[in-house]
Amino acid sequence: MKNIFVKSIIYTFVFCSATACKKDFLELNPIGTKLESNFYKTEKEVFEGIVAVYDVLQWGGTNGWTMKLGLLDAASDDCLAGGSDASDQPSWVAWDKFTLDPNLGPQRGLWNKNYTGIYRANLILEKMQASDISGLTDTKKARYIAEVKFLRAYFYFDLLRFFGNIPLIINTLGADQIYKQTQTTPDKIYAQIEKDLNEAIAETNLPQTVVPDELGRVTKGAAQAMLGKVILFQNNTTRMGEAATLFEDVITSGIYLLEANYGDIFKPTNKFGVESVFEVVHSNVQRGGWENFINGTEGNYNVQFFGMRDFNGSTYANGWGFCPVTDSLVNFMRTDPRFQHTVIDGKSLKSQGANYAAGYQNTDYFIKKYTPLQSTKAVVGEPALNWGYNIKEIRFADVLLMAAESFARAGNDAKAKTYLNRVRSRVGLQATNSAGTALLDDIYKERRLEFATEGLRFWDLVRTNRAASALGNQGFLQNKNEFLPIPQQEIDITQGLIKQNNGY
Amino acid sequence: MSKFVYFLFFYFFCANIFAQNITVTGKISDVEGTLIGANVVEKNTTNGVVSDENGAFSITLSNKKAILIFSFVGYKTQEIYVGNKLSLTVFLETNSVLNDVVVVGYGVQKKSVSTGAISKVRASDLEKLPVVRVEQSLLGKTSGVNVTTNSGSPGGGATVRIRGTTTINNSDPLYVVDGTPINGGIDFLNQADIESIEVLKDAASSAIYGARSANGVILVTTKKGKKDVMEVTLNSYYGVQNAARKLSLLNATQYGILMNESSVASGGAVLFPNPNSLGVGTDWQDAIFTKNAPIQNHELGISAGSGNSQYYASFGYFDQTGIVASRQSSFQRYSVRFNSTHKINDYITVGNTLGYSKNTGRGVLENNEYGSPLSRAVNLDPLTPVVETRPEVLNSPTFKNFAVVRDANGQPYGISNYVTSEVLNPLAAIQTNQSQGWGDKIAGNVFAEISPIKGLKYRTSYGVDFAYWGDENFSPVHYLNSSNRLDINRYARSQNRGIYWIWENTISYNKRIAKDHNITLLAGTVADRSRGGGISGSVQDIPATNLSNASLIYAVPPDKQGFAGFEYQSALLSYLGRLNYDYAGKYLFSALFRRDGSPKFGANYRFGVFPSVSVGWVASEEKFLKNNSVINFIKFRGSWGVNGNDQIGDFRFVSTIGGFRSYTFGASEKLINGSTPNALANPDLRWEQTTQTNFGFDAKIFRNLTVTVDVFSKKTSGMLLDIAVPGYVGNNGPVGNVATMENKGIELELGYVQKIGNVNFEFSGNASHIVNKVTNLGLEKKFLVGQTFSPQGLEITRTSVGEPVNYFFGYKTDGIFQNQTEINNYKNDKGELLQPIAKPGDFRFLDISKDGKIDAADRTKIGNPTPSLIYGFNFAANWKGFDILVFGQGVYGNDIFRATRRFDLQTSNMTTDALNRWTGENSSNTYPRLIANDPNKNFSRSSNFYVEDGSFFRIRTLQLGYTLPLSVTSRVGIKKCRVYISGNNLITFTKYSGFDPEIGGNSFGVDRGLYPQARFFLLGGNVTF
Repeated sequence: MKNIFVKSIIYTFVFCSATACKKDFLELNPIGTKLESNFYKTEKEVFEGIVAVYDVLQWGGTNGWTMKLGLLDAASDDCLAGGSDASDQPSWVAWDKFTLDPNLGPQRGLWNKNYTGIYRANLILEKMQASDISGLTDTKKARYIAEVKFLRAYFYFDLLRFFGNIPLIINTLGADQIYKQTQTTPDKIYAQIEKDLNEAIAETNLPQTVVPDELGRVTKGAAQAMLGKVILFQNNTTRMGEAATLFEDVITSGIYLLEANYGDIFKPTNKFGVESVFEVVHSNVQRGGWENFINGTEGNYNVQFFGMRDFNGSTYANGWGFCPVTDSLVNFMRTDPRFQHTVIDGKSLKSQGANYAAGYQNTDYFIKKYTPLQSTKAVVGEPALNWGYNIKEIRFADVLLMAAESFARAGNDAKAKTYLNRVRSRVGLQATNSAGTALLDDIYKERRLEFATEGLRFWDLVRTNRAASALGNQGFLQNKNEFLPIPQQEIDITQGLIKQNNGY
Repeated sequence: MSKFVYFLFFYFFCANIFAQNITVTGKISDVEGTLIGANVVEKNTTNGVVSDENGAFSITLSNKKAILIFSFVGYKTQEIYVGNKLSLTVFLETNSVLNDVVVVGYGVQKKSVSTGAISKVRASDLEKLPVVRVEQSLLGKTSGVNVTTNSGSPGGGATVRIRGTTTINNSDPLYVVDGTPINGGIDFLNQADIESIEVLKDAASSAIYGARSANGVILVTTKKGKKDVMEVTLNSYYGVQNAARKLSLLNATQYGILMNESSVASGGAVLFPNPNSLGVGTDWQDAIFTKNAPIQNHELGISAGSGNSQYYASFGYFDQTGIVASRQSSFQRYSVRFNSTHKINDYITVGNTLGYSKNTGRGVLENNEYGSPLSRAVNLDPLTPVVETRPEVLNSPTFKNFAVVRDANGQPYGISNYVTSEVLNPLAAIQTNQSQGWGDKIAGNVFAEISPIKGLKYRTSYGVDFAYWGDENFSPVHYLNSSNRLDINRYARSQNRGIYWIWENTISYNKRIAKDHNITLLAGTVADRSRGGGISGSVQDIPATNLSNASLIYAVPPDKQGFAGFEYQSALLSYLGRLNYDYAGKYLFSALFRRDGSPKFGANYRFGVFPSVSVGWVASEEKFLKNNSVINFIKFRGSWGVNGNDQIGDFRFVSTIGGFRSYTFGASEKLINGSTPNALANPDLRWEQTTQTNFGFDAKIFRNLTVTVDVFSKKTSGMLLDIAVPGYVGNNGPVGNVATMENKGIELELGYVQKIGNVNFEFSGNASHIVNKVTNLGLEKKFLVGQTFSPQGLEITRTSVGEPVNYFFGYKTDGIFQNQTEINNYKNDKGELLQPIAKPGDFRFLDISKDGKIDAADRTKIGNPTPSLIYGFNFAANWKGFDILVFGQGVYGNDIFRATRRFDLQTSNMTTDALNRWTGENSSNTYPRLIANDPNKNFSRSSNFYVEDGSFFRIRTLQLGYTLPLSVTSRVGIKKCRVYISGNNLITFTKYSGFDPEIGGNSFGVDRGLYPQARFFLLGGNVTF
């Protein structure tokens, strides 16, 4: 009896151990997710990596509300910060009033957003070097590489303009390099941006135009316009001819036209119109709620910001009252034919029976170009996060005026006037006949009128050294406020290897 | 030979004939003197008597060779062979802690020969101290265990730390209920079902649980039926709860005056021309605190045993309503238990434990500055009315056009015109987030023990833990303020389940060799596996108005539906072994190991080995101490061992790919999925390891004082850290075994029992001193960013090398500039003003970095949320049926960061401390001037202004009880009937000015508007049939 017991115990014990010991008992894999080590093996997976780079373009919720367009409007003399009160979005107020400091301002979000784009670009460029990706043809791969290089250039260009002094990272970082990066001089960053854009332009598989299903993807014209813009921003007179050539290539390509009616450009439904060279795509098809706030919905948060607070009336939808339009801009363009498409006159709406709450820095003038409309309000998901308004990042009028500017600075006033007047005549304005410096001034004035509240003004002022005079009364200090402070966290974590910008 | 046989025959015959009916008399005493009512029983018979008021007894026996058994509750039972002794003097020893048996992993051990640092809490220690969750019953009960209630919300959890914070990761201990490790806490247990709780504190005792033991192990044993006893117990209480404390906030007039002052100082307008006309305004705390919120608990237990089977069954019901936002703050639990053991024959015993519980609860956001009801109540201006009645406001566009929230009478709730963002009417907000959660849990095991030969035992046990949980929430269409509104209603519901099984096989062998060598060997294998998942769905724009009529069934178009899901799985495979040896109960040695394998780690580091050794010396067994009248018992212990921690999430060593990095392409707006790695990878990930050394002793002095002292040093290495990386890396950092931390401490436990006349006293107390220090955070890093506050992400805690985990971080102030001269005199080496923009009334910030300017580099350690001393005591006395219990507990040496005010919203309300602000020279040196845009950042910097002493001592329970005399109750078949009244959280001694100094959970001592623990009074009864 006892023997049987002992035997059975030993047998069970050994058996149990052996069963449990089977190797696969501990061979579990995460469910419902793929591993990096076996991803990027097919063309589809590589394309998901490409899409992830595009994704960063539409981010507006990194470390708080950090939408590039609205913030640049608030920083410029076109708009104020606004919101419910001074404490609504202190980082927006800080940029409007130039009271930024290393811990106060939108810098962290803008820094992290653009470096995330750069990481994703670097990563997929590295992954595409593998030779065994099924279904990835050479032509597809070449196009993907060109697109990613454009996007990497785009993120670097934003970073450089926001921060001035940034580290240059063109590979994913190994464990030993993570904390060792230092800032590089702007000329080296510019050189990398130009290199990426030149390589993208040279790639024959980067298309001039895309089929309807691919709208939103990078085209050759976008890369050329971008490269011209990058050169123009370096403010180097000797290279204006180079920029002019690039712009002229875009103009003569015949792909782009001015919208006949200026007001049509910013109809939310007019996506990828004839004037569009490069758009950042927003949509309401993700249908997200607040749980997706951090860059998860595809919506354009600027739109919610720009709308009138507690608006009650027809046509327009309710928003949060940010970026009230300054009297300076109103006075500057009140008589311009574009005014009615640029600015909402709140008092006039009120006189027609509408109502809204006056927010912080209320001027009774509101941005119209990206204003929320009842007709476009998302019916599913959180409406505030689902405005599907594309941002006209580069439109043909900008290419024309940049062409005019580079020709003017290269000494070719005739061409400069041709392009300037093409923009003016679209809205029925008389041709300009000035020359030399006066012509350049006219071009700058035209830029403010044409692109008011589109986020171009602040950098236009900075790159042409006019910021101190235009923004001085807002608090702008020369040799300081051209750039945002480097995020304090970045300095802390590298133990001072990353240096703070001048003046902060 | 025949003579001898004859002699034997004669002897027995005579003995049988002549030795009948002898009478034995005697006296029974204990250390205090005579012992009344002690039992005297002739062994193996029903013949028995009880000692009288002089401790004397007299018993008639049939046989001189009888054995008498002397027993009394609370005393060690003694057996005496009668023989020729016709008069006996019997001394009974009290049944002290040291003679107990303790549950250790995979077995039990006599406490006297145990070499581990193990604290035990018995059922008798628990039954008078009602708690919501079983882990709270450890609060203040044992040394080295710090239990901090997370919040006062119903069903709110508690944070349990054994010997300090062991790791910067999950420091929660492992809970093992009747041998089955339990995931997700032990709140499913009914307190009355617990027989004992053992806390394994040092490595010697806990390393048997290997990779899950670094944070200590809590073993819970549930009640079993008693042999040949049938008992029915009924415990009930009902009570009311109230807020113990309110903050002193500005009333409407004071608010108006200070807001005017603040606005004018910054060059703004006078906001309230006639503040005195504003009156007192709204007291938002009154509005959200519920008076006399009910709490009740009812438990029925049945214990039975007959022949070879014993059973224990119970039913429990608990119901608590919260003191804050009661409508959306409640908790109910039903629990059922059935345990049994059956002895099939001399070799085989089988049995089971089985517990089921059902919890439902409603909760609000807690300790959160973005919208917890308390945060709203303390920040909302007192001018806004609870409900709006002013016609001009009711006719305003806001109230006419928007879905403002209304109270039960249809009156719209007031909307603030002064404070914005998340600070809005808390009563209105509660109605817009209707939610409830539920959980069902079944946990238990079946086991068989086979003992074919003496000393050898084989045990196999199969345990399961099935958990089912979910929640639902409904947001009606609402308008709270211009940035918090919802135009389409929304309903979401989730259902989840987790299934866990564990199969344990152990063989143990016990052998005594040559009288004094006692050896026990244990070997075993354990395999466990868990998997689970859940689904959730949501619908929008449904024809429902509240949670009770919301449903997923409503047909809504596909674009208004959503669903999501998750799944997980994990496994553990272990081998364990243990050797216990003692020589004559005097010299003790124990060694054990466990080898664990887990898929949480890569192939290189899949298995980990966790060994421990310990020694003990029972000095009181040596000749020179034996029978010493002062030291009755003393045992010295020493141990060393290694524990692991695998509570680090699954599959962290690989880089997983995450989707939803989408972008919209095309004229038809197609959302295309994008993917990237979720974080950088680290294939060399390993377990966290904690190496612990422990020295201690257990002693009993003067027969009624027990003392246990332990000193320990615990070093945690390879702590997994989500390595914070610079933003320019562009992805989340990898996880690495980088950080190290140490905890050193000393623990004391005291127990004292005394009887004076008819009064029995019992005192127990404990104190622990622990010093925590982070010793390394990896090569590249000196600190970790911790807690932040407000949308600006103000850093308020940090973890850095050489400092305790999560200390408070910020500027140090040095008084207030009283005049311009002081500002002008506050200069650096170069003669430049350190604070050029400061004005009189602003804080003087210290230039900690000595770099000649006040900036972020001057932030430093400004406080520590971890107490240096935790202590608790329990005092009980009874006299003739009356009993009293006082239980107190406290912490000392910790700080609290009081972040209750949303300083980023300048119009948020303030405490009346603000009335003592700086208003002119020498008016204040602690509270700066009020100015709307706060140019000197007096309030918008983290500084020692917000740090307060968090030490407290709390009378947790004061209870008075009366047990009806047995002579009365026995007539109706009741063995025991006790009624009591109990006051909980009656008094808290603290300097802290917030609601409640006890701030647990993941708050790390930051008070963002904590849900305070209620003060409550209970009326209860215990009846045993």
